Amino acid sequence: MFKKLFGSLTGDNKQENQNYEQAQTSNDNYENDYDNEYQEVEYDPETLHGTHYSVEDFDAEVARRAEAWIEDERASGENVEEKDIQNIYFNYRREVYTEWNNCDSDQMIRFEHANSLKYTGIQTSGFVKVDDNNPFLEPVHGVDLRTYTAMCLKISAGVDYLEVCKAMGFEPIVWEELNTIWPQRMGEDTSFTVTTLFGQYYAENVTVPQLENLNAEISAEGQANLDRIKTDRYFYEELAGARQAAYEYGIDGAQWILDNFGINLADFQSVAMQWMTEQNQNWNSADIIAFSDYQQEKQKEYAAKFAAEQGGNIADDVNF
Amino acid sequence: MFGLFNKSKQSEEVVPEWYAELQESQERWFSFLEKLEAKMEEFATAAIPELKQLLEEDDDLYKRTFHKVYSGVNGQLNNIREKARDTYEEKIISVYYHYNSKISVLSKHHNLVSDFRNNCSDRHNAFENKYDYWRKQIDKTKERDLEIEYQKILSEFETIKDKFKCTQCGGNLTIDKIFLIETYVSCPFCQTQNTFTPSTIGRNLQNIARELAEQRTAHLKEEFENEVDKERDLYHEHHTLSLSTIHESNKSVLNEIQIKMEDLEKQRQFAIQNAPKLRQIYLRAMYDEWNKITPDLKEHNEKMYLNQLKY
Repeated sequence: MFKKLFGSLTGDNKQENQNYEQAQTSNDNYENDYDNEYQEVEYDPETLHGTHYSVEDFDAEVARRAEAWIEDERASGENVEEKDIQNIYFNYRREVYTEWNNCDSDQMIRFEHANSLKYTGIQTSGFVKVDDNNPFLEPVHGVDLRTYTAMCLKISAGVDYLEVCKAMGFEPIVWEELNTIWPQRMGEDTSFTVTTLFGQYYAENVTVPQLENLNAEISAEGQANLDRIKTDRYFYEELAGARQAAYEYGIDGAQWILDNFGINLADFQSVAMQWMTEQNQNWNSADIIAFSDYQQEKQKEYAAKFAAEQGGNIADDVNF
Repeated sequence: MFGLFNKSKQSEEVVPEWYAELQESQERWFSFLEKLEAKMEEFATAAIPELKQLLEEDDDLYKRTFHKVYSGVNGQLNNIREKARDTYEEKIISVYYHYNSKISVLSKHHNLVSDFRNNCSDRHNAFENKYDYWRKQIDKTKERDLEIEYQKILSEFETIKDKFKCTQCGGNLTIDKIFLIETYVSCPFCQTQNTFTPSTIGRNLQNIARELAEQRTAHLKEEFENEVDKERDLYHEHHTLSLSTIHESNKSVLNEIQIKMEDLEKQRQFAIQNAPKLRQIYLRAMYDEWNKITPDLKEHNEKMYLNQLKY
């Protein structure tokens, strides 16, 4: 269920991951209480591995169990393909991690997020480290990804791209090339580093000195609402639900949010990325379910409102 | 003692009084879904020609009006589906749970309870299939013949390619290909760099190129997908045969089945090996078409092709 609901946000919903088993998300309450009262295992802040063993030992143990299984499968005449091998390793990694750290599934998922690049070749938002030698991150016409993101933020907030170019001091033609090459790199990079990092910068609402004075107009009310969705997750979920409901009634949801709450698309998406990144970093399935339920409930409320405005739904007169 | 036995036997044969409630719920459920299906059909058949017309008449490059209405239409279909789901939970499943907990599984009447659930659930599935059908029909309204749009772009290019003049010396500049974004064109006479800004239609080539290439190679994709389906079909055929051997003791019949099964397995293995090859043939052809349409994107597309082959 989680992979389906949130997979697109964690960045690990790509094809090769689709074969993996769904994340186990139900938690034993006893375990939770236990965890809260007594932290038995100390975790490395970077890798989230327990500090009572070495990463090499961990990888070796996973490999030992996985290879034994693969050998067994092959001995019984099974065709073990590359994607099966990945699945087998994936499952043993979960098994060994949970066993060695005596942890719940939330901790295990946090561990997977922290190590997604290493183990699956795919980045997870909130865990990307910038590598200076990555050719995909080479500046284009002197513009790095961070600056490109800052420009995108201004433009999607409603600032004219010609204004943005002027502030940056280059011809519109340069912007067009940037806006071709960076998206192309996002497409070419199978580790999704460029895309995920772009999302992280977007969530941080990055800016560069040249663009600091360039702001889309925002009303006082809009600013207040924007500040609120950044700090009040429930309010953010409400607006996200409302926006979704709007689309279902043939209304441009992004425009509706701007008209009614004064928040533009760029700011809204930035806050959405911020919450998703936070969610990836502090994975907690109970909270995730609660927020998702709340959003759905709000979506229903707004749907009823839109339906009333449009004279009802077409099947309202059909009763059981 | 015997009388007692007979009596109890008799009472078991009588249909219990609560069965009427189940029957009523089931009848209501069937007619409720029938009405929803009629609504769905009426709505979708009215919406489809309108959507098609909207797509044709929407001059906006991104077809925003069309997409808004399209999303609203799907919203209504979805609303009908949700209504059915909610009602199923509320009026059918809750009734089922109620009687399931009341009537022992050992009771002769328990099958009335489970039949109720099965009938209602089968009917719900039939409804869901109808929903899927209409959803697909609505989806199809998005399809448009991109060859027409491509021809528009080509003919526009023919008319403008010789009309571009140098801002400095007024010399004729020839635009030798369709540019997708603003590009510098240097004047052959005075070497001035001129900025060529492509038209909105011209820029759109980039957006339709892949879909056009896919349209042109759809038959190859179908061949690949058929091969994937074939593997599943052969597997099921094989499985059915293997089940048929369980109660078969005639050796010559068994032998025959065995030969058939081996043949099916051989075909299945072939399909497994062949499917990725057909996929590669499709992808190669699709990217070739794409490169023909937008040669400037070839370098990028080739990287995408290699990435896609891996997955």
